[in-house]
Amino acid sequence: MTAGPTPRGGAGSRRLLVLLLAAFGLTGAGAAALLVTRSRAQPAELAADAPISGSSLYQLEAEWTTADAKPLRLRDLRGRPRVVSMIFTRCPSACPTLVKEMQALERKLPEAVRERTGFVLISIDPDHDTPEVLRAYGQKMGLDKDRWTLLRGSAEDVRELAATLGFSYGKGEGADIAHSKLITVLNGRGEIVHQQLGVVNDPERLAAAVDAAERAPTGG
Amino acid sequence: MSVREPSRAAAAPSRQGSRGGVRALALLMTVAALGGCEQGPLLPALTRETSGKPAASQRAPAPAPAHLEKAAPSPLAAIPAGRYRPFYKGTTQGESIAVGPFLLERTPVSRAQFLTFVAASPKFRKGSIQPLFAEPSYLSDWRSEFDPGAGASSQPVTFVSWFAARAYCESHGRRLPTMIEWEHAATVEGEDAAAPKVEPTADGVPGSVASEAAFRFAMGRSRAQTKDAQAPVFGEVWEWTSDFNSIFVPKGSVNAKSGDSSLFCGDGMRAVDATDYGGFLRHSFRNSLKANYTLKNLGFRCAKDAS
Repeated sequence: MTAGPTPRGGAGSRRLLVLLLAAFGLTGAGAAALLVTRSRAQPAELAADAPISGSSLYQLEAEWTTADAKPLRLRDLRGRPRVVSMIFTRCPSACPTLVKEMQALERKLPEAVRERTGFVLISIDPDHDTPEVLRAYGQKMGLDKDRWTLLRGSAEDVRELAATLGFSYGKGEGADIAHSKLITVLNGRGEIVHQQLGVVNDPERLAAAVDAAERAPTGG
Repeated sequence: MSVREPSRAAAAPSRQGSRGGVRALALLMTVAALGGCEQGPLLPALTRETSGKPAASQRAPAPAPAHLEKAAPSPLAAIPAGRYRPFYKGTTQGESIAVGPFLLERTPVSRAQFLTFVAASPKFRKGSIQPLFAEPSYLSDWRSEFDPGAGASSQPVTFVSWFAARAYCESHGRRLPTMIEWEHAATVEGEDAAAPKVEPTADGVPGSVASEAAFRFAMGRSRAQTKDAQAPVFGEVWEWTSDFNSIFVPKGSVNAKSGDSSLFCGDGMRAVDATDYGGFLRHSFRNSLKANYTLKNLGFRCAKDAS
């Protein structure tokens, strides 16, 4: 019994991951949603009382707080494609990398699409990440306030959103939190249209997903 | 890696990885044999996903039949404080961590008990629940919305999502147990000898296909089953926990830096006890779930804070 995984074992475990994801994912509604890009002609603007579809994340009732200390429900994000990640500001390397990947995507998008796309970061460390801390983080990372939304919620609501997205996290060493690196693209109705696990440095694929989401129904 | 194209990596196995692939496949087939993969075909699921039907709250639910008998929630057993030894060496370097006392239902929630819940909670009825909160196979073994079939009072409800399980517990002023609470209550340290063992191979990974017995064992054991008739009973189904998507990643693991491979599938070599195949199965299983998944052998029971 060796203390650490051999390269061979590592390859095996990655393949196990892939196969498990494939087997569970392909049978699940979650993965089905990932593959959906069917578009329909819909009015771009949403009526305030437009019905939310049964697979929309915007059915979640949790109340969040923005970096400007304003209350927000996820359904307030309706009407535009949203690129969503869960992070924490004390995260030493993984989260900045993830945020930079989202920023690379932001730059990659054609201007017309970029103007309509929102980027959302949700803290998995709500005890530490107060609105003030989130605001400072946004400045430090150079996030455009017009397009980026940083959210803090209760530990229970963070757990619910993560469980819904298929995002895993747990306490690590000291203040560290072990977590998935997951980028989710939502269409204007709050339906998952694409998910990227890991940082793959491929903004073009994400851009294509956002573009498809942008052309997908936005409401109704 | 994109989860959108899982087949690409799977279709091009490296030579070194082929044995791992066989093992993974064996595990999957076993899970499938136990009902983990009995879902509808992909295409109808896609159609359903795009149908955009309105949320349940916008439709008037049918009233529950008046003759339904009300099944009381299961009695709670007191679980004493203790120590939980994490499956992975990870965060605590194999040291156990304290678990406070709490209350746990003696048995998994039965179909009859779940029927009482859905009768009062229209949005969690079969046929009404929205795709975000449960897959199409939700309660798929029930004959109808209010008919859970024969043996309802003795059989655990399965084909239930995490959302539905959580809502059931909340309806009784209870909650789902945390993963650590469940592991503390449902596993018995020092009784590893009783588990069906799968000896590690040279590279430290359990080498043979899990047996039915190993799966049963992985579903939990009562620490006092033999001496205390009031102790919780385990071993019938996998069970949801409130934080099934929690992870404990080992410090200093080769994989820890590269990320996702360390998050989902438990390598035996990182485990505190590499022969704890039950723990391996539970951790791998939980980390492959999403909150709306509904599986044939996946049920739940509720917990409550000790007052």
